[in-house]
Amino acid sequence: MEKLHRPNLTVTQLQAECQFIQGLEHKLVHLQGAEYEIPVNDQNHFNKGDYTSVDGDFSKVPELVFKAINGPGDLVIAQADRTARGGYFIFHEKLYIQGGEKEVYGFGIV
Amino acid sequence: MKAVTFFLLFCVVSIATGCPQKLIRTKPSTNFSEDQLTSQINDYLKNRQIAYYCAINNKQVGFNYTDLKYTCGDGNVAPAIGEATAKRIRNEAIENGITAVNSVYSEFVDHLHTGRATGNFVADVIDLGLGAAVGITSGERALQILGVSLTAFRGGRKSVDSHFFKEQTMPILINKMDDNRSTVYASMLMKKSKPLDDYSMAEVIRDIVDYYNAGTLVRAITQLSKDTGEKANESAKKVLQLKNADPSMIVAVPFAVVEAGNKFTAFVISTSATLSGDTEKEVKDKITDNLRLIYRDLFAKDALKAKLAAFKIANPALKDNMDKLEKDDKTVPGKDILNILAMFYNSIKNVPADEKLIIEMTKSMEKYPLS
Repeated sequence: MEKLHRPNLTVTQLQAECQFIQGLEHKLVHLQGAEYEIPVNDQNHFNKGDYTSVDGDFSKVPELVFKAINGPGDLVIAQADRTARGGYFIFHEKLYIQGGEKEVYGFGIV
Repeated sequence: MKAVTFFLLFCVVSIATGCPQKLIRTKPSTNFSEDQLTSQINDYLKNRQIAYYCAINNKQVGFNYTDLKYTCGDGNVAPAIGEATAKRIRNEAIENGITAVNSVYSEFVDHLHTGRATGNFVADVIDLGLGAAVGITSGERALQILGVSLTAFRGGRKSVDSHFFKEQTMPILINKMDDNRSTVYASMLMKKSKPLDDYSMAEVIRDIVDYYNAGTLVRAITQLSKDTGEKANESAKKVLQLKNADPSMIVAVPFAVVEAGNKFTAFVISTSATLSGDTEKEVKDKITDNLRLIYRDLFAKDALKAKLAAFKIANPALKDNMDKLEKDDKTVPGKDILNILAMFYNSIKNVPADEKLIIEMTKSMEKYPLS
């Protein structure tokens, strides 16, 4: 399942929205900023989220954690946080955050 | 004395490596492999290291002009003199070590420039580099490492795929080796003025070995691959360029609904874990009771009652339990009630027009907290 998230959200809002889309049926497998050649509602920037079914087992729906990466130090901290919380890597991509491009690291905790 | 030592090293290197042109034409790596080079440099460093420790322990240090070696005497010297001598020996080892490695490197680069077309040479060079890298990564002691690194010249040819090397252009590889060497050299120059405690003889030897390895093809290729990998990573951190967006895929859920939905799903997931785990029966009964009350609270809300009725028709397998809950029958197991609530939530969430009902569901859930 593919979803397009708006580009004007904060990292926290985007994380919450992805969590909502997961609900009790899906899990996020990738998220990346996407620029579309043909705009929709005058908007051609979105964050493209790919979700997959958990086949009815909602214990497999992860708690999502997104971290903004402003430098190599942030990435190390995010990875350490993921390890400490027993999480698994989901994505590390450029996203559209509050209208601009931002590198974000995302992991899931089951 | 510095000049004498340099001369000795220069001679050793020259004798050990032989004539460059001959190396190119025949088997250059074989000539590189003379035991003398390794043993002479190791002997040199070993002698300087012993003299260094002798001086640092305030022992008298002498110099034998016959074999150009330091000797450790029994007499003591003032700590300041011992320290100054140790520093001099350390810095002398750096200078001569760099000189020796530079000599080998210059010749090596010469061979690379002129002998690229020689297939055997290419394979030998790769073999050399691999051997050196193995020596370093096996974590030997500093003095031994140099031996292993230089001995790697002698290694028998292994099944190395020379195509990997051939794909790289020679100037790029040599530039990379120069670059790697400059980095190590700059670091050594900076450390040279440091006191003995901050830059010991053991570290000097490690740096000389590192300086030597910085001028190997394997290090150059590895570093290039790493650089390329980093660049690839950087380029991966770009947004996608796509043609069309499907408007129906755009998420436009109000934040109040998002927040409520996330609370509800977190509640379902944690309640499920509690009911499945080794929780006391009393707690499980209490949770089951609360789940039943949540269902009844939903059923009491007009907007949700109609949705529950439609949901019951769409899911006949759940009808019996739903009927029981609506009649306040307390025999429905907690897991089954939770399953009904989860499936009902999914049915509401998947219809955009009904999304706001999620807020009502969460309100009912919050009325009966788990704890």
